[in-house]
Amino acid sequence: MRMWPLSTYPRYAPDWLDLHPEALIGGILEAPAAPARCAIDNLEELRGLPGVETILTASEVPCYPFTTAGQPEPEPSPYDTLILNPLSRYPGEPVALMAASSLDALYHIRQRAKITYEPWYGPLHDQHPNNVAEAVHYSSGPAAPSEADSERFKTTIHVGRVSHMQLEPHAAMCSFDEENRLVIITTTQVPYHVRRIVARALNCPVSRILVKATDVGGGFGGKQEVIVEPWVAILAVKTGKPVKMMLSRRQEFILTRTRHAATLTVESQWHGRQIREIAMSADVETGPYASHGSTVAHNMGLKSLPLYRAEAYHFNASVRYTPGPVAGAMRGYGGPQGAMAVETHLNQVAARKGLSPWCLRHKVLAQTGDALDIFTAASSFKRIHHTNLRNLLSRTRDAIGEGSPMATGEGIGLAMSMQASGVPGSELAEVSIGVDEDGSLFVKTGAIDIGQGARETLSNIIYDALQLPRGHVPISFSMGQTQDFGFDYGTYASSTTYVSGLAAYKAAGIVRRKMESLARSMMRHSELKDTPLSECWTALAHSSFYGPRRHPVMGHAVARPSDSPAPYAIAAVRLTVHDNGELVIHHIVIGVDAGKPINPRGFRGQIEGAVIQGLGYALWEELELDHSDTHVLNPSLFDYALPAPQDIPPLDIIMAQTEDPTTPLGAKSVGEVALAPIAPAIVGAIFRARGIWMRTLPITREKLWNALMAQRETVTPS
Amino acid sequence: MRWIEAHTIRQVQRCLSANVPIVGGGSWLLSDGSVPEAVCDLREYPWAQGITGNESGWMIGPDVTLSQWLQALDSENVIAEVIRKMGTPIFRRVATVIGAVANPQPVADLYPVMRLLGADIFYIDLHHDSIQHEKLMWPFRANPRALVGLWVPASTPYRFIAFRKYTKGRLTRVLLNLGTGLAQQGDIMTADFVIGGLSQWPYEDRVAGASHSISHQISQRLRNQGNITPFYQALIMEMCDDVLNQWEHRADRRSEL
Repeated sequence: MRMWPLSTYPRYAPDWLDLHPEALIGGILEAPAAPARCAIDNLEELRGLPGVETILTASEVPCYPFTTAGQPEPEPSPYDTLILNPLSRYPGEPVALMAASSLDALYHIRQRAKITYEPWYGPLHDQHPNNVAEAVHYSSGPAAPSEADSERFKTTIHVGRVSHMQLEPHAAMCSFDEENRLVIITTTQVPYHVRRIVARALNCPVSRILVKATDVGGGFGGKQEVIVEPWVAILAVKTGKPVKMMLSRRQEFILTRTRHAATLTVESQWHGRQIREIAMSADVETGPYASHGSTVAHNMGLKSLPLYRAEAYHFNASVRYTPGPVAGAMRGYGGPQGAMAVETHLNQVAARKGLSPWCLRHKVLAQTGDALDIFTAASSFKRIHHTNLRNLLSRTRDAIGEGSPMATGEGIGLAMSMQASGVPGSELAEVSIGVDEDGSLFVKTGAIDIGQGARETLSNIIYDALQLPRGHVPISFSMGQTQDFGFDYGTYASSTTYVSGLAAYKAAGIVRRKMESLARSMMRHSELKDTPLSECWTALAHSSFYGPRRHPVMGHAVARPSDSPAPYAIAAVRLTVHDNGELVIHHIVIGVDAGKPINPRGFRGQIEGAVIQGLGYALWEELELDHSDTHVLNPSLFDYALPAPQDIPPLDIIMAQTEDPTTPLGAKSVGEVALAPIAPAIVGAIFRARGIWMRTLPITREKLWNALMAQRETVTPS
Repeated sequence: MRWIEAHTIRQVQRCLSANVPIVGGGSWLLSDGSVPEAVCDLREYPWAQGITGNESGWMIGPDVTLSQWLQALDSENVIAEVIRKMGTPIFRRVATVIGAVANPQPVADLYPVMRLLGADIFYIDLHHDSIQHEKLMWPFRANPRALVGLWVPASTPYRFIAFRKYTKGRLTRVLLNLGTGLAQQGDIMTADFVIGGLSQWPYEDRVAGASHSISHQISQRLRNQGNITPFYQALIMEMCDDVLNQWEHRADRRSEL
């Protein structure tokens, strides 16, 4: 399928697919327009083409509704899709699935297919006649705080769609094993959800499906969606043969998922330098299928408002079905949209009050012990802030040089963000660790290495828990292999270190206790007395298989934390806006409180990657749609602008020296938190440089130039 | 997909008459989208191979990649400046010069400078049994043809040629580019400019006059175009002013090439 290897050994799904030349190649016939009812006029002719094994249309595949959002049960996302939907709701949506012996045969089908369509003018889903998938209303605190001596402020911003742009495309293969189970090899962040969702789509027991997740060559949440797997599964079922499918880059843009576009408004009421009331309303465009729309919308408010102390909080969101590509989970998961709104609002309030953004935040930042779960019922578990960020705020301010002389057109911007460490109250991870006869360890987990260094992180946790020097014995992993168990809700929501890591820590603790017990028993009768465990580890391991006890050592543990401590990021950006709209970023400082770094190199890599992705979100990236908001206009890397290495400004990372008290590891998460504050920090810096507020992302040179011109025309010299 | 390596005029003509896409290199990188049933690869065409040059100019064969030409050029040369701004090093190592010239993109990067340099293209068409040549100019004629060589003269009427471009991202498609050739006789300056990205085909124009009036004249011409957004007008003017400023500050105003 490809001309080049992603890896020199089969590590990623496309590599595994290449090792199966016998498999049929799956493909899709795409809807040319949407919303529309599409039909293939020459279906029988296409089925007769050489090399074509099958072509399946909507009427020939199971019709059990499901959601593609990879989340645990009870799934918060509506079951609003089918393997093949009779009504095509976005251009590129599969009208038919096909399997053939060669790419040429698929090509001929696409060339010869006569697809006609009848435009659809009704609601996108009958159950939602007004195209509103969900409306959310949350409130806490007094219903109507006193208006006396108060000021009111309001900010509205708009953020567009962006693509995940992971290097590795979605790819999967489905075949049968010796027990006639369906075996799906796939690149996914959620192997157990893939198993369950495919089972639902096919209406078969989960035990009939084995998922073998590979390492993920970039996910960013895009592989928390179950997209390709039901397609290869039904093609394998219908043909009785292995079927593999890999999406092209164009398909990655048009038929996988995007970040949600949204228009957000933040209103606040202030008494001096105290927030009496802060309210966010979000109009969220989820595309023609809801996917993660509901939970992403929730997080726009829940990951941004609790950073600040207020007497009352309000959050309203409307999640609308819209034409165009489907939105879904993406790094930050609502946080970037929420931060753009709340942080820009705070910066605007500071400017109106004549305060620096640093000073205002010092006043209104949440304190240690303040509620993180601002809308949770009093009876349920409430997370709290464990950190006072003021020291980190000051260090970040000093590092960016706030207060130093500024050149013309130069400005410094500030913004903050918070995330979670796993989904609060909804995480489960199971880890098993065994000691092999040579002393090496094998670890079974449902967590996946998605490039974030999960192997290194879990290894370090295990070594530390075993009190062995890091690297003392080899550790091999079985990750995301459902036949091996090691259940895990998935590698998303920045959960691997905090949740799967905790399970690994507990399992390693069990192993250590068993090995110590074995050592004590052996030492009574040998010269090993008082030998440190690390020095007799191999001998103990061998003895556990062949010694008098004959009891191999294994540890198994489960983590299901109810807490999910928030990591924080403080971004400071120093930039210059030139008269021609050109924006030059001189320096970014990012202060991060993510607890104790378990894997320092991976920790830093996650921050750097998130900052760069945040830069793309702020300045370049946008999935452009046509005038009808339906067709993607730039589905290629030739037209979709990404940050290039030369665009990355000097970046300094300040790590808060904290240890999270809710876990023995002391570590929170770091995968997502540094992305969200970049855009609002740039917006704030532009204001301080030029006095204009850019409220729509991305801030392209053209938009900035137009804003500067508008300012020049409206500002009359005195 | 059949890969036809043509070595004779007849073979090339057969491909042209069958609407087989001509690959001068580069195009095969676009693996996504519709795949043709056959392509005609001229990179081994024996008429002109590699870079051959003498005092009067260079002949660029269909096998020459952007990277190879870049290496052969003086780093100060304007062509080198253009090529360095084209895509990534990986792209430049496989994309050919001929492919870049033949690819009918209205904002193809090499076109403005090649036009100003008065480059000739050598081609095979369906109506002649020998290789033809003419000045590079777009839009190309309606008749299909296959480029087999590019002649770039060493001498130019301009004392200074400059190239500027504007893209959305560093590696994305060009949205606008500008090639400017400046000549001066006494106090009269002539500026020829070729702008890609404003219309279906590059917009070409010439202004002449006292050097301080050049910028104003270009601005007037752009306004008269009517459909250019204020941002693009400002962008082009900034590019022009930058070029003029660069020219003004050159200590040695001899011919760039």
